Amino acid sequence: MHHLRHKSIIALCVILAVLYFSSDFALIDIEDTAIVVAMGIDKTQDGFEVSAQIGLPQATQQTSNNNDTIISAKGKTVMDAVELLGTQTGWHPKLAFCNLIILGKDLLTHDITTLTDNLLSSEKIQNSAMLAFSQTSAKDVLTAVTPLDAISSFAIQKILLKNDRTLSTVADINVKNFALLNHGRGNWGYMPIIRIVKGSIEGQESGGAGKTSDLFDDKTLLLAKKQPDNRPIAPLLSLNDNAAASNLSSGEGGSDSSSGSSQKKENVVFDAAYTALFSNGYLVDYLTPEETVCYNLLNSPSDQILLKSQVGDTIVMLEVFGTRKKIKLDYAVKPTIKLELKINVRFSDSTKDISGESLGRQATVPREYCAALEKELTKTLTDMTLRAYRKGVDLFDVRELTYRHYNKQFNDLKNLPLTSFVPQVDIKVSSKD
Amino acid sequence: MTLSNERNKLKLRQVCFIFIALTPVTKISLLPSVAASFLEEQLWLGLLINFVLDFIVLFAILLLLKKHDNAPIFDVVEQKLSPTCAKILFFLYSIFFFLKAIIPLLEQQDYVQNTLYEVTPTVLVFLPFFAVSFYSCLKELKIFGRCVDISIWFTLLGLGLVLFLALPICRIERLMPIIQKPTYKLIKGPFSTIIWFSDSVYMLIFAGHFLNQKQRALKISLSYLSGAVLIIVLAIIFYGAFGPIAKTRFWAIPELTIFSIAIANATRFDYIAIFLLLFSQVFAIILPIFSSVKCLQLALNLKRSIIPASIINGLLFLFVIVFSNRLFKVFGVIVNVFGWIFICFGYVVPILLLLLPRGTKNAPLKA
Amino acid sequence: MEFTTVVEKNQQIIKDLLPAKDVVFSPFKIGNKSALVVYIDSLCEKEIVGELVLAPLLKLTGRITLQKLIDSVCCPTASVVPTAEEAVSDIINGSVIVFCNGLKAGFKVDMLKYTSRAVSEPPTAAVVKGPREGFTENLKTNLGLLRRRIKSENLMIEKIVVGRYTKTDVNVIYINTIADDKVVKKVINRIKKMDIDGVIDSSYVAKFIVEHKFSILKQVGNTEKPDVLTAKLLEGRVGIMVDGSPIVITVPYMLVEDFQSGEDYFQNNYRSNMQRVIRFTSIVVAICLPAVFVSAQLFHLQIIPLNFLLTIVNSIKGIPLSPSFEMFFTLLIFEILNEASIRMPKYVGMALSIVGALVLGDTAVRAGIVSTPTIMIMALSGISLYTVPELVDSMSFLRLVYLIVAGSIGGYGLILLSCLLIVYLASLENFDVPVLAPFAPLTTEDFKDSVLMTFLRDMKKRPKTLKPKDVVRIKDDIK
Repeated sequence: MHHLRHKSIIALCVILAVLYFSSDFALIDIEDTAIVVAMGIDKTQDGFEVSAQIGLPQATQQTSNNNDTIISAKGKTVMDAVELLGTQTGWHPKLAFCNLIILGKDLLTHDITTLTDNLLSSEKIQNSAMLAFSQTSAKDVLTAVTPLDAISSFAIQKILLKNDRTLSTVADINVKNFALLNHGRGNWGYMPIIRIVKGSIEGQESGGAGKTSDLFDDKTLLLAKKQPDNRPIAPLLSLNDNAAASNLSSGEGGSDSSSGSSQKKENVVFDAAYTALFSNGYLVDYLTPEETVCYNLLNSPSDQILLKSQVGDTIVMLEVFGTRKKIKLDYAVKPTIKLELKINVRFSDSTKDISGESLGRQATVPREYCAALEKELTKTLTDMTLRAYRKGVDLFDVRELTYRHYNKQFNDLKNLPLTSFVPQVDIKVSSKD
Repeated sequence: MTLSNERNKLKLRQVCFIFIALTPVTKISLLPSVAASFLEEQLWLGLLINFVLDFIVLFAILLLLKKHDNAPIFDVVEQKLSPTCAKILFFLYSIFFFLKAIIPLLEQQDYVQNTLYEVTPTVLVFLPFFAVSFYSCLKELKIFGRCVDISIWFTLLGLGLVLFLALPICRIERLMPIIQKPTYKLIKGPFSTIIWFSDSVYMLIFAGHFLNQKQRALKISLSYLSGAVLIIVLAIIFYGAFGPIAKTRFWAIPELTIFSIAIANATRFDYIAIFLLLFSQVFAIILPIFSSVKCLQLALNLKRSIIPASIINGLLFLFVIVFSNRLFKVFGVIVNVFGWIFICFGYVVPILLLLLPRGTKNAPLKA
Repeated sequence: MEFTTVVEKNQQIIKDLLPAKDVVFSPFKIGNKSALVVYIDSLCEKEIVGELVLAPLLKLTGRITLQKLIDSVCCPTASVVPTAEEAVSDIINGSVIVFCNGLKAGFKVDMLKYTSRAVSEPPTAAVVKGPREGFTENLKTNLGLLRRRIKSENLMIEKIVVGRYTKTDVNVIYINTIADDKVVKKVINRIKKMDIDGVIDSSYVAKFIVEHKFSILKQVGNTEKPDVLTAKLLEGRVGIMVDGSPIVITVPYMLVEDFQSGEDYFQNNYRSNMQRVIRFTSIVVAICLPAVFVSAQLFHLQIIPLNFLLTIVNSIKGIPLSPSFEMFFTLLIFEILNEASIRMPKYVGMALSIVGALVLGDTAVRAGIVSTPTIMIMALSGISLYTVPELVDSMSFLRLVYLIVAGSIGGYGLILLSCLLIVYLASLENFDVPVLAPFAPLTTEDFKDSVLMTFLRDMKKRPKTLKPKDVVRIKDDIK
């Protein structure tokens, strides 16, 4: 028996040694691995072009050119293109670190449901990866050179992640949450629009509400606003003169992408204050920075955000330090969506002395500024809600709320057009006593 | 032939730990999404029905134990019916536990290959499991009990970390409305998830092989309830996090943890929880195999368990090789074709055993 | 064989039985009778033999009897040696045998010269606070050190002679009012059953009294310090002291005891707890870190933080070895250096450090044979292992097994190996005490002195797992 035991132990050792030294049966060497940190998806005529931003050690150096880190390939589907990335470049793409997925502007005219569903069901892509829509092609965004970080996607992630925690100027979303909304009863969704803004960081103003609009000309987005309601439209994105993306190269295919590496590029920064709205997988509308802030005030923690209040010529910046929000449905008289928001604000900054006395952070903000803010927010919220409903975007989840709170009547109420809902906005802005 | 003597009995605490640490961890991978696919926001209700049914069986077995002075069930059946009856019954239970082991086994094989590895490896990666299983099956109940003493820490730490990381993404309102599903779904749902339940039947193996202590029934019942609460809470958080897409999220644990901001900022330290739970899951999957081996050992009246351990593990080994990556097909077959076996041996037989007459004072049963 | 009344014949008998050349036969006169003193030169001090044995005998006059001879020498242990075999055994054990013409037997005087090193601090158990004495190779010194600490009539010392050639004294030590009788009995029986040519060290005894000879893990405790032995005896363990060995073995053994340092009980309790946690963590790090690193590189890249992963990718560029082979190679170098540093004479130690750390480590990285993270991981693992020196043997072996499994089948393999190890350890028992206690089986009472330790004043009972006869350690605490 012992003899047998010895033999089996020796056999086991031999098997293990073979497995061990055969270098890890069929697995890919780390050196041949492309650690994809961000992925750009652009629509081509008969499929998709996937641009993968690779985390290379040397790319973290400020001196490097971003083109060095991009590999791209075209395929019938996204995963087909990802597979081709491996076969064309010889690098096996690992998507576990891919925290950002940018959808290029060419996807505007397409239903992105299948695309996001495939991203969701892929075991290789983390569902926590952030989703963003690009004002230009996704590849342009990823190849952009920014002084913020050697890897452009890291710079974008900084904007999105920072806002996730403190400043609610960006309506960030990940693959899972987008799928949740898209497959929810409202069949809608949103994602931030990444815009490339030309110029150095010194030339930019901070990204608070009302500020980014200075960088943004509405002409740049010829979106659904002017389109007839209640049907998917094919909006177009075009770049204005300020946008830098037109200056960027957009190399054809992954293998030749490095050819542009020597090209001198202008430094750009990114902005994500605009929010794209989707209905049934189609981009149908967008929220302006002010509207994005309003949406976030009702949907996410919003402390430290700066709101602008204007009385006459005087502009006062008020910092939010606590909100209470409630979204309710009422079918009693007519379908009403009640949006209640109580905001505590404190003085932050103003264009001129507003009371004659020193106004520190602890001082009470004069009532008229609070009232002006209330009025402004009420108007913005009402307008954006009505507009969204006209476009078929179930902003504030009325279908879901109906299902939860009026379940027995759901079958009768579910076909009620969104336009029949009246937003009733109740906003109270108060300053600390 | 008995599975234990005075020196190698389980401790009551270890039996309780099995219900807190082992049986719940088989229910944390695929079960939440399967339950969600049938009952959506009512998944917790379906699980609750399963747990209540299980609890009734547990209660019946505890009564049976009380009735026969904590005597091994095999001995009870042997004395009250006949030795042949006892052998046949335990042979059938061996088959039952064998079937009960299949889904968790394939589930883990699929889970390990598809979620833990960056590049999906071959089934070869999973096969060493049978070495651990075989070795464990050779050991006595006492040794298994000691392993449970260790694995409870892994379960509690792992589940604690998972729940902690998942809680911020859970929107409890996604579970509303609380009750609205048609009754037939409330029957079909729990029936389809039955293969993850009927854990009370393990008590048929442990009965008579653990040290008799005060408040035995209360302690075991409370442990069972704790395990049930853990799973229901996890299922609620799972649906609260994923809502309508929960049914497509097959592997609940790694799906739940990745959304934490801490993970985004640092690294996938949630893998600590995943691996801690995996450790307990290995023992949890060994439990039905171990039970199957011990039943076969009793049925064949063998002194050592090497032959039954070789048979059961060998068969499962072949099964995994043949049916690897066919989890959902096998799941369908087991639920639809063998579902009645789970109802029969998981619920009906244990309750029927209550009908056996009490042992007389003249012929006391050996505990 | 019996002696004769003629000294010369007795000399011949001894010479026949003990032909060794270092046996001294020194004839002299007692009164007018011829006499002979026999001893081994290296075992006895010549001056003391002359002073204590020969000088009083030379002064004797009148009728010579054996009793008179015994009474005259200044030694209480002097006694008659009736047979030649006994005489030879005594000579070997350091006695001086005296024969006198006309007397049919000789007598012996125990004159064994103890040449041993001084009591010093053991190198493997140095402490900042607490007693610094360590056992030596001298059994008597060791027993003295112990007796000085336990002045109780209940301290039992059972002497057993083991070894057909070495005739080594093996002492079984226990406190009879505390230690479990079954354990004492088992230990004595197992030692008595040892039929071996010689016992060179206490580890020989350890290998014979354990129940599982194939065990990866050690199955007996050991200590070089009398204070630690005292504490272990007071907990209910049995000590085995072997002549010629400074290491005393203790049974039953529980894994947790190697994590308990003597110093823990002498210093601040919070500090002790911190150190315990560090020891436990270190052992996990030592065994698993290289394995986890290799497994992460090969199979689970996602568990490595992105920035660290980029560093790894950068550092492994151009390295010809696969991650698993690279780690194996580094481990091999580490073990070679480790082995060499122990065996190498001290005066070349410095040179070895330079060669090992600088030349091999730095140059290997520069030459592109191994990467910096691998060296860092292996160094951390190597250092961590020495936080619990008693476990170095078994844990370094386990580290290798873990590494091979990690390189072959990755993280799931590590989990399976850990499960297998737990089942194996859970089934290990020595003298009916589970090695994994108090964790498995969970013994909450003994948790007071495990991963964390409570205050000494709260450890009112002895470890339950050891089944002591007298459970109470502290009767009434000061309020």
